[in-house]
Amino acid sequence: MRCLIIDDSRVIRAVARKILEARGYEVEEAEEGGDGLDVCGSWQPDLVLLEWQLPDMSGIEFIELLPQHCGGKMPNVVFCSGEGSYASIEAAVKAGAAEYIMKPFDSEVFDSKLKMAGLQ
Amino acid sequence: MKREEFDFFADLVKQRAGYVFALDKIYVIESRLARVAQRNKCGDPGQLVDLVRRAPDSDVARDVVDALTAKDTYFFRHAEAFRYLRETVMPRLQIQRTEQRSLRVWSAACATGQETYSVAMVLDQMAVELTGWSIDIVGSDRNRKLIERATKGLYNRFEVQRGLPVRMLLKFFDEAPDEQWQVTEQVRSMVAFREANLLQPAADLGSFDLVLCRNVLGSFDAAGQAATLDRLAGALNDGGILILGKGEKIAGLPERFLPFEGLDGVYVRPPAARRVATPEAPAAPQAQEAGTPGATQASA
Repeated sequence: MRCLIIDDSRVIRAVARKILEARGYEVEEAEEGGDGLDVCGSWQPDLVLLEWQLPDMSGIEFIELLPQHCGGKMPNVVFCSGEGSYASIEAAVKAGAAEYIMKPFDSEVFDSKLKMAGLQ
Repeated sequence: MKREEFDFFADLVKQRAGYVFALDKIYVIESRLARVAQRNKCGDPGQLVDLVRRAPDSDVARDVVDALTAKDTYFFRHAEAFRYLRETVMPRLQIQRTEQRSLRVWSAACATGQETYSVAMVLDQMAVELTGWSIDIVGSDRNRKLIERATKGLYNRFEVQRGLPVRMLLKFFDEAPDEQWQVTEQVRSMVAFREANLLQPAADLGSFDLVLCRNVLGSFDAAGQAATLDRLAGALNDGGILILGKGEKIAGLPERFLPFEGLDGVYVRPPAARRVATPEAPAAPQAQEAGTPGATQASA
């Protein structure tokens, strides 16, 4: 399974990478939405772990642009964000997110959410 | 921790909660009591023993037992059991209770209530099928503090993310202050929490059609398991369903319950006459026709 982590925080990317690699995922990283869309086209991940607000676009905008960039293979998108309001989570789900992880998280939460998104 | 201190705490928790600790779990007792000792300014386990001995009904004694019986719980723990509840157990109970149009569920040893609310969420999703039914869900635990927490239905970010799909979070929870989430009023109104010890008769809770008692009995010894199963069987209506934890092997089950088809850990309480009869009693063919070994129309 391939996972692309899109988050402008190096720390969060490192933590998520460690958890995912321990579960057998191949991992790529992107700091911005535009770069993330490019990686989706070339690398075709199964899962995109997505921050709510990226430097160049919002996570919702990213999901809206994803079908044009993913080369016909839509990955599951799981938001992973400190933004944890009801309205934000609802917007993410309506946009097509399979799951939503509120930061801070631990490995139990991570496992649980990946399982619920059908990714483990 | 000295052997006599271990013996004191192990005896206390067995008497009050039924939990059994073997000597090789001395480190568990030690680590779980470290914070209780610290809170009560006890420099070593011996001082904590003295405190509890002097005041066996004090908050300190309760804290000790609570710490030693702490249970990990989360929403939809063993998700397969909840799918099975919705798809197989509930249709069975709906047939059994079709005349009464009422259903009582007991979530025993519910700790902070996640299991109890998970059941309520499942039944709420069946609202159309259960229109006109009286649904009563009781969560019980011997720990008063946990019952108070469960009643509020307030959970932090970690708790609402373990086992709970995001769509169910949106449907069944409201945002609350301090990054907490609260079970909606609608779901809380389906549930009542009661302080009750599994070691004591549960007659005042009434009788039930479904009992969940998961991940508790495995901590009891064989005698405690059998006695508790008797109480659970006594609280179930004929044909009522018992759900235990995944993989729990409990002493005395075959004498009191019949396995329910399809999922390990789910059992049926046979009719009273059947329970005292031999296993070859003639009720079996009739029950198999109904699709569930041992299940019959509720006679209440």
